[in-house]
Amino acid sequence: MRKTLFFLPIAIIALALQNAVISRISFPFADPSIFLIVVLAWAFLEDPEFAALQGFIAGLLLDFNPLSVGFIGHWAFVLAAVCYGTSEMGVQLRSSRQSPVTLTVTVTGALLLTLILFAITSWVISAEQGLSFSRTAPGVLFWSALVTPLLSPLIIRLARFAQGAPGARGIGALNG
Amino acid sequence: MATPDKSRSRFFLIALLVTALIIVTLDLRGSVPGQTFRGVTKSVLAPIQSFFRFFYDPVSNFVSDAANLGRTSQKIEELEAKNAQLEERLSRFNVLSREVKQLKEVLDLAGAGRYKSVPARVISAGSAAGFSRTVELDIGARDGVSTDMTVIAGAGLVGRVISVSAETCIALLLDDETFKAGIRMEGSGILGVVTGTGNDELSLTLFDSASTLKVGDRLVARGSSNSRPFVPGVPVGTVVAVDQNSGTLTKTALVKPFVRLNSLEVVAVVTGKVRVNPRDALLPPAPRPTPTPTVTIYITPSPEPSPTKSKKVNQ
Repeated sequence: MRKTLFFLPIAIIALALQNAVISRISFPFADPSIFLIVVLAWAFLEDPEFAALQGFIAGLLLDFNPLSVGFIGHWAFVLAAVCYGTSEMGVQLRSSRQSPVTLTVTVTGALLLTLILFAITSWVISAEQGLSFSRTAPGVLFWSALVTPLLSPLIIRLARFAQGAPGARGIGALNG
Repeated sequence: MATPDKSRSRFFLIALLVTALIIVTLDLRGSVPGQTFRGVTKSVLAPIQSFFRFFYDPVSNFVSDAANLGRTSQKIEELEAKNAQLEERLSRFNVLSREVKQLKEVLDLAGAGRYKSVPARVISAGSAAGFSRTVELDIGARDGVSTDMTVIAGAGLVGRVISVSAETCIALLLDDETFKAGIRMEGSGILGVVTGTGNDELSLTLFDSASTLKVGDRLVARGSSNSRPFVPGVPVGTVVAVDQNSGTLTKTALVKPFVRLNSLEVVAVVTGKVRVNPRDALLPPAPRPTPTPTVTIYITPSPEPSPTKSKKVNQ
């Protein structure tokens, strides 16, 4: 619960930063998704159960984003699943979990998986979203690969700080 | 085989996914007040986004300005060039519209007097240092102009043609010291002569010393035989000062010409003979005297003397 309370304001700040700044800059190809990078990186550093929960919450936040137009619950479904899988991968890679390179590769891969899953589920529910996947995905992944190493030290530090709370079973538990 | 901890995680994930699917289904059915939730999120995000924008907008504007610096300066240069072109066109338009107005006036005068005339543009003027009040016009013998023809403007007499070439001619202005023209007073028909003085006014000499002459009287050209050098009826000027010195055989006065000779642009040369004397018909309407306002002041004496000896004045 405490980790959730810690994660929620960070996710809100990341989303506000995305809306107010990042998406207003005209990047080549597509703009980087700081919000998804933070969520997926955080999930990578968490245990699967909490990663699924925080993915679900982050997804709902994205669904409730005033700039979103899709069905509510769509992003919650996608991010809950992808965050769980990312966390499982983090558990498998426990020895190099704190490495920025591992984090970058995993987050970029998770981001690709997120976009694919979102596009597929959109097609399934006829949400008419994700149609620009082939045009958007390369740019998002490119920027994710560039931005994640820059953000990873901060994210790792915040995650470690959050897991310092009693009951933490992520990095703190693994390293502890 | 999955550990109990892992099974619990998977069960938890499945529960979350099912929950998400239920939410999606409800939203598909329109049972979720999505706009309400998005409104709540908006109100939560708004202050944080404002905070970010507070720092981002100035930087963004600076970067945008810097990026557009080249384009902006190029645009400014283009606009300045365009502005210069438009100013030049406007200036030309103003000159043309002024000339058109003057041309209309002179053609109106020529039409009213039934003068056969050729319009002309002043292309040069004699130097004051040369003591010759002359102008060069852009019409000449090719246009039917010959010497001793009357030159008029919209307001009246300008002078006479003194020399002609094929394409241009020279006109002597009526304020030149060598200029002389016979005139006739408006109404009375008294004859006289105006002479240029080299100044703004002309000198008027009336042959009849007994005639009455006052400021404001107006005069027109008397006309010459065969209408050369002067056609009859062309307005000349207004008397502005009368020489009251009696005992001479003639009466003299100063006349202000109707035409502003220092700003001539478009004139006309009367090239044909005038068959009908328009007499005073070409004179502009006489100016009406301006009524003098009068102020009546009533002074009512105070019934009781005040200590300060002041008077009450009612207007």
